[in-house]
Amino acid sequence: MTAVLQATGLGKRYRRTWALRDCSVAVPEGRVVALVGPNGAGKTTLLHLATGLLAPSAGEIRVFGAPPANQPEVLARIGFLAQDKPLYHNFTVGEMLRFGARLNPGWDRAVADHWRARFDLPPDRRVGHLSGGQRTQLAVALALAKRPRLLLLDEPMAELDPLVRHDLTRLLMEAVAAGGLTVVFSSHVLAELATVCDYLVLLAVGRVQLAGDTDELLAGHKLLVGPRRDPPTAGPHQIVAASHTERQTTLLVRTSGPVHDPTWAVHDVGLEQLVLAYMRNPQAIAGPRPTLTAVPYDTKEVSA
Amino acid sequence: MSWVAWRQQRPSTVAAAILLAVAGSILVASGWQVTAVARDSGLAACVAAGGDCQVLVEAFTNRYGAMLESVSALGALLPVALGLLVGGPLLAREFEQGTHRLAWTQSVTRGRWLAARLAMAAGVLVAVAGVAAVLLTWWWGRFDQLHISTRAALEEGGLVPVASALLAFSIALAAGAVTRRVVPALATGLVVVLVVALGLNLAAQSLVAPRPLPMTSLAATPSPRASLDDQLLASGYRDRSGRDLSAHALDRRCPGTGGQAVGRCLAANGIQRVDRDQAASRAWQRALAQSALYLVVAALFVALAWWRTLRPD
Repeated sequence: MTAVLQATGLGKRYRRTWALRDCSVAVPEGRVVALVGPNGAGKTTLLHLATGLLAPSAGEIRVFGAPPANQPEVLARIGFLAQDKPLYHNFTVGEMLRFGARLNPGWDRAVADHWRARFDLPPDRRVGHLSGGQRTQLAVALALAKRPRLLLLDEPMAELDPLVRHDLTRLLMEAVAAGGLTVVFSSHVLAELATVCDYLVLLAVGRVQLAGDTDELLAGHKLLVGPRRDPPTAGPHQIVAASHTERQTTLLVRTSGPVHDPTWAVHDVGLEQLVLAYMRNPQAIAGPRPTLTAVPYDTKEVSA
Repeated sequence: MSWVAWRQQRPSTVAAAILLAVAGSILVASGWQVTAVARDSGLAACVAAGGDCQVLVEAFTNRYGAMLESVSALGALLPVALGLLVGGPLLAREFEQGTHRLAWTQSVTRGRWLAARLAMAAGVLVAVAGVAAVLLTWWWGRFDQLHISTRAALEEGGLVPVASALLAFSIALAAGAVTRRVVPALATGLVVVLVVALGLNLAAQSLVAPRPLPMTSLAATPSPRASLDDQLLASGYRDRSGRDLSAHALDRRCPGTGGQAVGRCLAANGIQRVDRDQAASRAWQRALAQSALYLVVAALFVALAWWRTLRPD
């Protein structure tokens, strides 16, 4: 499996505070990745590092096998939607798309026109006169028409109405299924992404708390319900979260094999439940499991 | 990229053109007025004939001196304003609105993006400031003809407006790259431009110090002045024995504010008006030195802005 985006010991420091620290993560090709974490967890910092807008303070990040900063070959393959959806407010919609066409050799006019029409954006309307949702739609159209192979979307859904959200996710699913596209969404609301993502990266305060294939993550975590045990113990399994009632203890554990203890009733966990449990307990860090071996991307392909 | 650079340059180009149109019409109107007044009062004919035009000059400066000062201040600030207007928002607005994240994540490197934007902005600015320079040269020429100004068309016109526009542009550009906000960039830009320009003017003056021609008495007819293109450095009064008279001493000998009576008194006491000039070529050299210094410092500020912008955060 090929890692489209690979961070190794990546860190970013703003003056004295680390926005991202010792972050090692490999995003495999052809996945829809949910980048989740509370506000200030470092999601935006990680995406900015991936686009070369920021330079790492420690470690390194490689996108398509090369550090992304000032690499036109890498930049041409990345579609990036920044969190505040920046656009030139004195441009018209048509001029904004022309901007995309002029700055991107791989620009696909049909894609741009399709999405402009689908979003019903009048070409002569000034960007400054569009609503927040329309601006997001235009920014999405710009990112898609670039025909990127890695789409990095920072909080893309926030201002879209449910219908457009649905359309957009369906389109992205189709594009990913057709091959050649990897999507990284960031959000602090997992519900937006739970139905579409098949890979999860959870950031706590500047660190990777959990990363992996969603199915594997779900299989590797169980909810144990049994008689009250305080302090909680779960044998070889790592406790992520624990809650107690007067008689009963509920544990969310990261299993290291089957649960043999018969006093526990073992239940499956849902993705949202899992993420919330980790978010409530930022100290719990799921160390890397050998589920994914990152193969260095073929750098020859990039320089070609 | 060139379409993008032009499209992004358009708003500040329009603003600069409007500013130029307003300031230009003030310059042209006042220049015409000066010419008309000099013609109607007989000053122009007197100067052309090389006679002693002191009374006429005084009457003129009494009436138009204040206007001359304010319009000359406008003329000096116009290129600076143009430069600030074009340079200040170029980077600062991108940072302020976050659009640098859009521009720098297209398929073009920051270096190419910045080079294209700088080339377009500098081209627009040179064109606009060039028009301003033509207007200012023409305007100062009105006064040079009458030999009543202490500054020459060469110093406030010619190359200098273009160079000072580029200096202001580069400083506002760098201020925008550092402050990342439009208003602070313009405010700090303005202060820094004025300080830097003052320093460079002093440097140019010490590099090419005025070398005065011998004092010439204007009572002699025809005027011994070598050429009307020479630049007037100072004028004053001398008594019969050749001593310079202060304004106070002059007023004691011949009280009054001009006119026939004072003129007769001066003539009776043998007091002459004398001018100190420098050769036109000297003023040229100074204007060239000043422009060259402006351009060198402008290049340094562009380099600062370039380095600050290309360095990833």
